[in-house]
Amino acid sequence: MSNWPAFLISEYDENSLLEYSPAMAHLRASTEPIIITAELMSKARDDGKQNIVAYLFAKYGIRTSALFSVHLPNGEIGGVTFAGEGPEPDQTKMVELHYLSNLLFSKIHALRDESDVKDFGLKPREIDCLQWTSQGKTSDEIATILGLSQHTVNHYLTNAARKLDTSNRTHAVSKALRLKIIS
Amino acid sequence: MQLQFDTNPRAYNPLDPESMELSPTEVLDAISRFDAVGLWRANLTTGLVYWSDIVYEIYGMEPQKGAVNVSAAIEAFHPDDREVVSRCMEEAANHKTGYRFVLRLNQPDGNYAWVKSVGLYRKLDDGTEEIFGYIQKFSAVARSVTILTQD
Repeated sequence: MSNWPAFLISEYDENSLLEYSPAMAHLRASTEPIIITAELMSKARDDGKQNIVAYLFAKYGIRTSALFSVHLPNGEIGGVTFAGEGPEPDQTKMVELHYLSNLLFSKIHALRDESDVKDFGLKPREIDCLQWTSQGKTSDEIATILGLSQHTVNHYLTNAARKLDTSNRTHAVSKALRLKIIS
Repeated sequence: MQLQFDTNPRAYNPLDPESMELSPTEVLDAISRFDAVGLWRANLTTGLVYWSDIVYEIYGMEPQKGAVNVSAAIEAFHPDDREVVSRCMEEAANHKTGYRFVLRLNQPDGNYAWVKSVGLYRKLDDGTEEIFGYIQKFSAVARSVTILTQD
């Protein structure tokens, strides 16, 4: 996550600059916050694209960035960047930004999760049936567990597959696991 | 570690053991003698997955009867690889195709082992549709030799 202008993000991606980004390399190696100047970001890169980076940052007025490593309880990691043309933030500002980074990342992730589930309109029983299927239970076993008829369980699973825009139950379970609708 | 995707069409190159005066059984023995091959299948209609005992062994789990806990099976992969595992099965089940991945599987000692898994679509005579395949752990080190001393 960053406060980069949308057009900077587009041009950055069009030039495939992320893979050899020093910021990404730092995120993979350390959880320590880091202040990155434009000069540092445009130092020699393994992909030789430092001139492109320097040009883009100058074009969009990025002189300094503060990068913070963040994580979620499920182990997902990410990075939040605050960038701009101002001077390097002092320690007090870095502490504030670090606090904000974690809050922001957590909130955005929660919104994304809710949005995924809301968009599919799955009912709790449909999710339950998907969950038990992912755990290796047959429709008959799920019916016993949930106190339903096998016919009803199959109905829930068929509906779930349809709502997830999937073509069969294996597809539905795999997609539900990937989207963390079930775990 | 960067993930590499390859979606290039592949020509079908069937093994032809008979042309080498070998039986399919002998070929399978050669493939699996030094690195055990676990077999699995996923019924697209029921959503249930079944493993051979060797797959449990590769995962470091006790073999069980019945269908597999797919959630646990995916959780056993490296966190960065889990979504890829789900995505592979998702795509194969949806498009009735196949995949191969080489990814990191957690082991009982806490380290990760590289495993290769191949999945292919099949339709049985009774109309049952499945994704089936194998999983194999890489245990060989580059430039190493293993001698079979007993049969």
